[in-house]
Amino acid sequence: MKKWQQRIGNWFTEHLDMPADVVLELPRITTIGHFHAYIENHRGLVLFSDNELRLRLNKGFLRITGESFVLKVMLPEEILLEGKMKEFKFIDS
Amino acid sequence: MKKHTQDIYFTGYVTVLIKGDRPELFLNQLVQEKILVWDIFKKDSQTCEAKIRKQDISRLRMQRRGTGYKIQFRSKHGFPFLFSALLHKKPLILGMAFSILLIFFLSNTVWKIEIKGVSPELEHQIETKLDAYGVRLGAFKLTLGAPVDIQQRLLQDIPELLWIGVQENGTTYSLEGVPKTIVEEGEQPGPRHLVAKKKGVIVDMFVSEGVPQVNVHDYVEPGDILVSGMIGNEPPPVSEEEDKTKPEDTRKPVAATGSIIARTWYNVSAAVPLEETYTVLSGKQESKYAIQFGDSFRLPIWGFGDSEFKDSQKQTSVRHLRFLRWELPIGITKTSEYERTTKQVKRTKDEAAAQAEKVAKQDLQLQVGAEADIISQKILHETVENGKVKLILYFQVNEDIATSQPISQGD
Repeated sequence: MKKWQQRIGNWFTEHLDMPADVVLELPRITTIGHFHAYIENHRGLVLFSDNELRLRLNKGFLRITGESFVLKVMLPEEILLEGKMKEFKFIDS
Repeated sequence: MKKHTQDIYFTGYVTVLIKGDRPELFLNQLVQEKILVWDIFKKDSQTCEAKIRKQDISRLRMQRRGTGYKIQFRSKHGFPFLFSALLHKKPLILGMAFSILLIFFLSNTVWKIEIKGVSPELEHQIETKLDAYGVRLGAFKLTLGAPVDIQQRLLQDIPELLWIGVQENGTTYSLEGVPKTIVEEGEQPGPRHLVAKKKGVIVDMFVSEGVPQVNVHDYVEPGDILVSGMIGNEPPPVSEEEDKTKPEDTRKPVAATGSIIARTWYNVSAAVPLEETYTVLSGKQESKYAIQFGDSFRLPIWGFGDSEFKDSQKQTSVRHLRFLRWELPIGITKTSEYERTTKQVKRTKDEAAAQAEKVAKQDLQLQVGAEADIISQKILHETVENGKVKLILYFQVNEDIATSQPISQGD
């Protein structure tokens, strides 16, 4: 079932130019330089500290490391992170 | 994104410390409950600092129940907290209220009375009268009448005043008066004739200057010269051959003056209904006072209930309170109710005719002026139609028919 949905989703993005994040429910990460990261469509916060932010995604996790992190805004599926970012890492579960 | 936190200053927000094991998980839980959290940072592994809105505090407490987390409130921000802090400073509030009250009182006080356009004696008289009405420096303006009323009373009480304008400019009353002056003889009139303005038969004439051109019992048409302004003999007409020695014109133009009384005639028609209803004010009056907010809402403060008048005429005047130079939407309204009674008059045909005759005569007197005499009157025609008596009357009037006509000089 899930596979089938994903196939249709893939077909939509390829042939109809639909944005992938909407169709496939994937996270969208926007960064401005190294000091702002705006993450949409995440599935919850797992860990947050001064130098690390870990978010649950549809599949796996997103791990951002850096320095002096502040969560400027936090909404159910959106997060605006401020600080000095060094690394974005997708971790498969 | 920012829009959630933009107006936050007006609703108020607090900084909280959340202590416990992995405090960010508690924040995550808050976010799932749609509680807005922002500016989160971790102080150490056991503590998180975050900001939440004032209205979410009770929900925050509810969420905390049962969990092992501890919440500490650090600082309050925003207008509601500022305001409540201010409220606790009683002397400040008292002082502010007092100063607003003071400004309010001073804004509604008469500070200056200007009187312009009149002689010092008259000015003094106006001042005394104004003082008697209560219009004096330092008086509270709400207790004074409207400028129109002051104007009316001044005109009534000071006969020397022809007209006075009363203007209320904020805390200043500006009065501009025009005194009645004995009209001095105007400029010497220029050379002129006296001509007839109406047709009539001359019955009497008095000429102080100029040459009369008509006699008593003469019939004149409008425009006829009655008194000529040219004194002296007209030069004899000269034939064209002897043109070289043209006799000199010895005539001299003067301003002809005098009065020419002539008998004139008028046809006047007047109609008076046999049956008539009209309303009069009986003189009984009731006044009500109310405080008015905005344009329509009125809170009665004096005079309650409906009046016992069956029929009445209402008159409402509003005086607005002032604050500095602004008119506040709060004012005091005075509603005066005058009793009105309906009167019905039935006349016989003769009474109506007599009334019509009277009306016609009054009309005519107004038309020809007070100095003219109505000599005789005669009913030419009398009809009754549509419940009205209609008269056509014939009047004979003695009046001055002279009017001046300037002599154009230079030709």
